[in-house]
Amino acid sequence: MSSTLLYYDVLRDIKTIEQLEEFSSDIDNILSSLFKVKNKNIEEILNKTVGQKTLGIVKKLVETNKIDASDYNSLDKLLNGIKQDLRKIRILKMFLAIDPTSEIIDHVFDWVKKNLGEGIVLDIDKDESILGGAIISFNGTYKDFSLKRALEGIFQTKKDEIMNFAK
Amino acid sequence: MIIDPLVFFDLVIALFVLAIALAAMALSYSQMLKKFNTYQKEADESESQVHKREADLLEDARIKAGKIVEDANKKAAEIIGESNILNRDSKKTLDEALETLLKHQTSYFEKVSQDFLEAYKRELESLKQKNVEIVKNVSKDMEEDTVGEVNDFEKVLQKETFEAQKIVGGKIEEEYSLAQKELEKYKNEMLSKVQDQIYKILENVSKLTIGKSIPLADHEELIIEALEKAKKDGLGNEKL
Repeated sequence: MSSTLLYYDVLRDIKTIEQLEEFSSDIDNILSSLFKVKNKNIEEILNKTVGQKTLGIVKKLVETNKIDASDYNSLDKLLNGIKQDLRKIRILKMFLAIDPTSEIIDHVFDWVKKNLGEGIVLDIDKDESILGGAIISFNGTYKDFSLKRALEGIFQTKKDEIMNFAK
Repeated sequence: MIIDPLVFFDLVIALFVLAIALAAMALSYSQMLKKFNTYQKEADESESQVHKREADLLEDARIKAGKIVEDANKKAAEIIGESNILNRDSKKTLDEALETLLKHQTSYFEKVSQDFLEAYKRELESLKQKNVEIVKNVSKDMEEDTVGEVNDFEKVLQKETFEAQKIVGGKIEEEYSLAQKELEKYKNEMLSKVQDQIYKILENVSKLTIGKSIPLADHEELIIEALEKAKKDGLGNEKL
């Protein structure tokens, strides 16, 4: 079982920091339930402890790694491995003027995966004052490409033209 | 205490010599006193003789002086008597002469006074006429001078007034120009402030308008565009 495979499979559906936190919390719940519940198979435990999304991901991992329904130890090992990999995930912080739809989140995430690589999730906050565009913070770098800043730049450099136009 | 006999003998001899010397001195002093008394007596006698002679001389002189004064008095009385007689005669003659002279002089002075009075009147009249002329001339001159001075003063006043008007006009012009400049400056400043405020309002209105009028699709496009720009600007190239 390699880390690359884990990333590919697990992180495909985790795009935002909220999803990541939820998934991480679900993993912790599964791990804590594994040795509390006796005489139940893994699927039953998963059904009772996590939501549909995490359930789908973990089931898929169990199937891919051919873990037996009663092999708690293998599942424990797998989930701890995932937890360690989750710590390596990087956060791309974004301030947007709107509450992004899931469609927009998908497009942004795809762009990030394609241009910046895998293992990155989005941490999006809403700030209407930026008007549009985005303020991006990643790996300690801060970039302001908001519409507000662009507009201020235009108003600063093209005062005469704007005033003439206004007249 | 025992004194040596030799010393004692010497002392006795010394005392003896001293006694002899003192006796000699006393004798000499006594003789000198005697001489002094003799000289004193002689001097007193000479002085009394001198005094007596002086008194005699003074008495003689007093008697002679009295006689001279008496003679002089007598002579003076005689002269005074003679002079009184002469005086009376002279006075009479003098009175007569004075009377004649007085009459003569009175008539003369009357005539002279009359002539002088006439001449004085004529001179006074002439002087009066001259004074009238002078006063007339002076009045005329004064009038001319006054008129001339008034004219000059008027001209100077006109000139000064004109100059003052010119200066005041210049000052007013200068102040007006300065005020205009300041007004222009103030106007420009206010205009600039108003323009800045308008511009700020325009900017805020633009922000409000643009922010609310962007469709969701355009927002997505702007977000992707921001990511593209950030990437071009080095996003993701950081060393971790």
